[in-house]
Amino acid sequence: MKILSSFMLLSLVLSFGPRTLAINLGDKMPAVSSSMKGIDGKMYNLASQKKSKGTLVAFTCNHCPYVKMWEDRLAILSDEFKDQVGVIHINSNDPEGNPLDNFEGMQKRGAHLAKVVAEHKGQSTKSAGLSYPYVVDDNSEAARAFGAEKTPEIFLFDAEGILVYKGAVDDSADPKDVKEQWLRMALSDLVAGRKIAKASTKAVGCGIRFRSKDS
Amino acid sequence: MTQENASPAKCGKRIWWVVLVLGIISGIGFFLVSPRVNQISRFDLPVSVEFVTASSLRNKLLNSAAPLKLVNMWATWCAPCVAEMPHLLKLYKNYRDRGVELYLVSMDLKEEVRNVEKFLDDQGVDFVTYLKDQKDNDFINEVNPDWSGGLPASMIFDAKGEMKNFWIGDLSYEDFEKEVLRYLESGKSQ
Repeated sequence: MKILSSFMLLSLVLSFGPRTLAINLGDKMPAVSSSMKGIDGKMYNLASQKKSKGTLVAFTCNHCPYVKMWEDRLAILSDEFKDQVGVIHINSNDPEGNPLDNFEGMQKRGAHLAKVVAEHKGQSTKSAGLSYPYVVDDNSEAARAFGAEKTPEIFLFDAEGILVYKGAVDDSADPKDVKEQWLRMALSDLVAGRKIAKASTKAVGCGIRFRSKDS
Repeated sequence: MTQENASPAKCGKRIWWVVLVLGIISGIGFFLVSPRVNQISRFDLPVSVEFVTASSLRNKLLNSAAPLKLVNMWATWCAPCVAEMPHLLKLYKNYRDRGVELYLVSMDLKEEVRNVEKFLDDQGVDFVTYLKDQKDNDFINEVNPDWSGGLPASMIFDAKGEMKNFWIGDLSYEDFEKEVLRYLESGKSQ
């Protein structure tokens, strides 16, 4: 039921802040010229993350309570599909807004998530490292190019670099209320070569605090 | 036998005891089964938070004849929402006498109701506010299919319950005031 849509004769969607248009399903992966530094100290280029079935780009951060509610499931999924779908997690937040989002904070989150994944797989957590890059978008170029506005927000591309899923990890931040694992379904469809059944959902999370372009 | 020996006065007392016990039992039963899903949770604070779905929110808007209803979707974990809240409250304080109603709808998890109330109380809120009791995507799509889910999100409704404006992002007091005045003035001329 479209509750308020019946009222929308004069609906005007205004934007008061500096925003960029988000990419839509069917669009090509935007070009991001800057290489981004991962928590392992290596530099990563977005375009070269692609694997045989595509690329999973997740905008995330360290401080956001909604990220924290989803991050374990997202880390486990990312690890599970990483051999077929290239995975990259990006932090575009300006740590001026919240110091927890600085590089050191990213390394701590990464170490925590590596343990979560290892535990999930029944492996030793002692020397566990994150199995996919978690990088800093230090001028927010990637977030601007994608039109990402929240964390967590997911963009899934097929092998041709076409956006085939966009939105949330699943249908509930609260793990005990999850009924539909949207990203898992999309990844499964993508890997199996099927059309993605539910290709668009709405991500809910903390607004990205953009860094200045020249930082 | 004792029953045969019971005096009318004793019987009367017994009846009153039975009535009292039944009263207590039914009172407890009513408390347990009463519709608590939509109850207003109170923690002895002037503010109260009522659970809403998109549908029940819509009904509230339709049932109000106030000339301008400002709906603001926010969350305690959303920094811009928190920054915007004092502007909204100042606006409401300054314009409620002119018929402006403010509907604060928290997107926090239901379990966070105590934190939501605490936050609002700290902000000096002493009126009924709301908290989403529906899955995020269902709520967002039913409130406005054009809403990306970004917060804060605000909507302006006129006296008839028609949505006149919708936007995402935090506003300053001055920008809020401009929006409210624009629709208060246009409402008068209709």
